[in-house]
Amino acid sequence: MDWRSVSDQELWSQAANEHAGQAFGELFERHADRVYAHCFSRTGSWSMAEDLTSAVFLEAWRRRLDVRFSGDSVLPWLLAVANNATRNAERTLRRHQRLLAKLPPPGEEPDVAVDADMRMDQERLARHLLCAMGGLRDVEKEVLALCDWAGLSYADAAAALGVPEGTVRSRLSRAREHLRNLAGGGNAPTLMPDPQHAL
Amino acid sequence: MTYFNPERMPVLPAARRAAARLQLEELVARSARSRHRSRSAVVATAAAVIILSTGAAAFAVAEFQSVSNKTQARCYTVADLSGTQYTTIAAAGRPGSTAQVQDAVSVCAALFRQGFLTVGGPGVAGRTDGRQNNPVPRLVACTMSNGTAAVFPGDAATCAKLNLPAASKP
Repeated sequence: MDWRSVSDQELWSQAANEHAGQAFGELFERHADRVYAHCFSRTGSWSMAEDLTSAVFLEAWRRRLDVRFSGDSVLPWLLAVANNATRNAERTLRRHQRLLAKLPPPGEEPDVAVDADMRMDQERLARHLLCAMGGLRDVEKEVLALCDWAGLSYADAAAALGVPEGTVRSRLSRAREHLRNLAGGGNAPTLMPDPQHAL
Repeated sequence: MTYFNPERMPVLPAARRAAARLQLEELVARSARSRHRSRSAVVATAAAVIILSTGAAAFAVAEFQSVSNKTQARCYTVADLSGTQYTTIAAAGRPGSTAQVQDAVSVCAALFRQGFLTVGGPGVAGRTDGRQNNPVPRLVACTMSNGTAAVFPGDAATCAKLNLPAASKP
């Protein structure tokens, strides 16, 4: 069967109900990079993001009965799982350490120079942003990460978090305001780079 | 706006990706085998319980059990535990307060009111028509075996019908 033309919902159903490993593998293939990028933006570490990406999918499988789709996509929910996983990163990694230990160690693959430079720039930016976000509440960090960093729509973020869209809007508004206040009452761009020049 | 442009983010290294995918595929396939084993165990256990409880009700579901796990709750669209017609809500209320179950009912009611849930629907809707006055069914909170609240359309008898204790005393 060619899984590539099958919807997320159908893949999930095949995996959860028929225990079709390849269906879950295809979901991993589709969304691993976005989850990887999200885990990185929440931790500021590419190597930790590698382990967390696997852990997110292991967690998603463990919690498969709780899955929520936004439209047909499972990605928003996976990013919400990633939010939880990165908030308790050490505990998450400990829970799955037996399986993670069987994977190639993170950061093993040789990088070309351009890619290595980009990764270092992004690690600097992520640490800067994470430092700035240190004073925010967890729910504010989560909604900022989903909407402003991962680029989810309000509706997708609402589906991911299991809250009404209006709640996402108000939380995001408060989070941005809070972040501006933490920056000393200035404008957010003093803490965050101009999105036009996003990495 | 995104601060990390997804188009320009590095991708998961290939060797890692291949190994992780394979591991997940094996995990999912293996779970089918372990499920069959656990089914056998359930049958054996059930048989033992039937033998031990001959002539009497060996156990009964308590009528009331307060919610002990307050980090999550479920909002069901039907009074049926067997399907996936529900959504999970997080931080349903303040930990340690008796208002928690009430909060779960209120949050679920809000999801119905705003059209994210409809009675008999498959789960949470990704989009709504924006109306804030959709019908809200009568809701009741029960306590799941893991201590979380589950909110169902129904009345005071619904929890008992589902073999669950009610989350609050009538």
